[in-house]
Amino acid sequence: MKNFSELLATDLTLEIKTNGVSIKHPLLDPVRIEIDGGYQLTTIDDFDIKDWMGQVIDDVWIFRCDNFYQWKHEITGQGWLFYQNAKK
Amino acid sequence: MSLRDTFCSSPWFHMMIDHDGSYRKCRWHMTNTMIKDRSKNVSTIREISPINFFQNEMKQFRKDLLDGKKMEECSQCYLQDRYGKVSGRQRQLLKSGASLDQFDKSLASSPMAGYFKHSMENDGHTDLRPLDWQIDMGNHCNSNCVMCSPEFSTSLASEWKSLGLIEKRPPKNWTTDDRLINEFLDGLIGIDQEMYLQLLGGETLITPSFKIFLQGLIDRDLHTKVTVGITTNLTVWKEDVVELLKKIKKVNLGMSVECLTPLNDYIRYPSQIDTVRENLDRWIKLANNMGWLKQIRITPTCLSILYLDTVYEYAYEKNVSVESCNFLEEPSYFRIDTLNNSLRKQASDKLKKWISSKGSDTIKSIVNTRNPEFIREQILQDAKSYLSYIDSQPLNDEATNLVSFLKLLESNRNNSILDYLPEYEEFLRTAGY
Repeated sequence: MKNFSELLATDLTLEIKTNGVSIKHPLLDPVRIEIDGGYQLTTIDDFDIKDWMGQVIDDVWIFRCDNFYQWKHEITGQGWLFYQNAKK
Repeated sequence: MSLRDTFCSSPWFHMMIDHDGSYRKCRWHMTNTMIKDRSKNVSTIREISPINFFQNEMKQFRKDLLDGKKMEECSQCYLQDRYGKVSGRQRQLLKSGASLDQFDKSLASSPMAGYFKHSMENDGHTDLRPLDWQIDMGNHCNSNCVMCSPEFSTSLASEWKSLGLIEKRPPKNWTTDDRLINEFLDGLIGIDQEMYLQLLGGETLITPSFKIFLQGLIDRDLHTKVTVGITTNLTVWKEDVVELLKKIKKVNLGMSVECLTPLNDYIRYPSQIDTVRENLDRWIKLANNMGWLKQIRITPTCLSILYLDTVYEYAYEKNVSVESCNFLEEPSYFRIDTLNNSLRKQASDKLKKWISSKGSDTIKSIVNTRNPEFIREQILQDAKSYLSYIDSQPLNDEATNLVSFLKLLESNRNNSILDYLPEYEEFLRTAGY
């Protein structure tokens, strides 16, 4: 990626892997993962999604976030994000 | 180079006001670039508002970064990236949610991506206002640190003038004009985002405008939504300033020290190590009580590198992070790479020994160096970056210039580096000491 224009023109995706099964997911779409019977090993772009990061409702483990990389920033303690509350 | 190696989000939220009131695009554009800038005709706070400078005069800089250009003024950050030191660029990227691992995806996911796009489509323009400020309050200072310059110290300005190193003193500090301070603070009213104000001296605690600035924040009710960063040289304690700081919502405290031996007195002349240590402990206790973030600020030079481990050890035991802004570039004869191979090996061996004493092999990269959870990892990371620099940076052939400068200072101070660093005798004698 040589410049920002190229970045915007690239179709970027997340790789969501649950128990070894991998799917592609549009980068900026909200993520929702549901696993019947409870948590199983899950990664998004090789980042481990731990059991406690989701919740269990009626024996279904559910993980969700609106923007994966902003969520990851927060959950890994990377500090405040400027303009995160600004109107665009 | 790819966008990952050059891009920085800083000019969408950060700018700096220099001692004389001139504007700068970045706090890391120091030394060479800054000196060059000073000879140019840059806008000042007396002429245009900071917002005007930020939105309009930084347009080309933003455009160049979006175009993926390698910027000369960003060379210090590229150098830090090369040696595994967390660069200003990485820190600023993180504030917009981007990181070098998964760079493309994290940047595209940034809450600021829309603002970058807007600038890309409008020749670098932005409607944003800066939220992350570095404000140099002036050069009022009681220290004459050997590696400093008159623009940062009135005491040093007097000494340099008497020694014939400068003809005239640096320009008047912009903060001597209360009207400009009030206008600046008024400009912050109404911004509904968190803001960071890094206030620098001289020595902030004895800078008259520092108190005016803090009181101004309180009077405008801005103290409830700003984080104030300060750095002290640990030579003084001012209860009235401490009381004002306690009223600020968040404080990031920087404490400058180069080593915890009497060598610090020579480098940060005329400090006294016992007073420095006493104040260091006192500030840490206060910061712990107040829940402030605290950091020991170092400026490693060829004189301090052999005893840098004393700071790391103290910080490691007290759980206080350690940070330097950059690898020192100017004055160039104070750079660590001025040392000969023998002293570099000694410094390298000492750092290696200290690092291995903490049982550290590889650690993950800590970019948010202010995360209290990773303080010890951050200290080790900083130590490793200096180790990497010592072991790899080519020789800087300036030992004779170093000796000439030290001899000139010592003729005024009646001291000798060899009383503090006898290990350096052969190196310094060879260079004409």
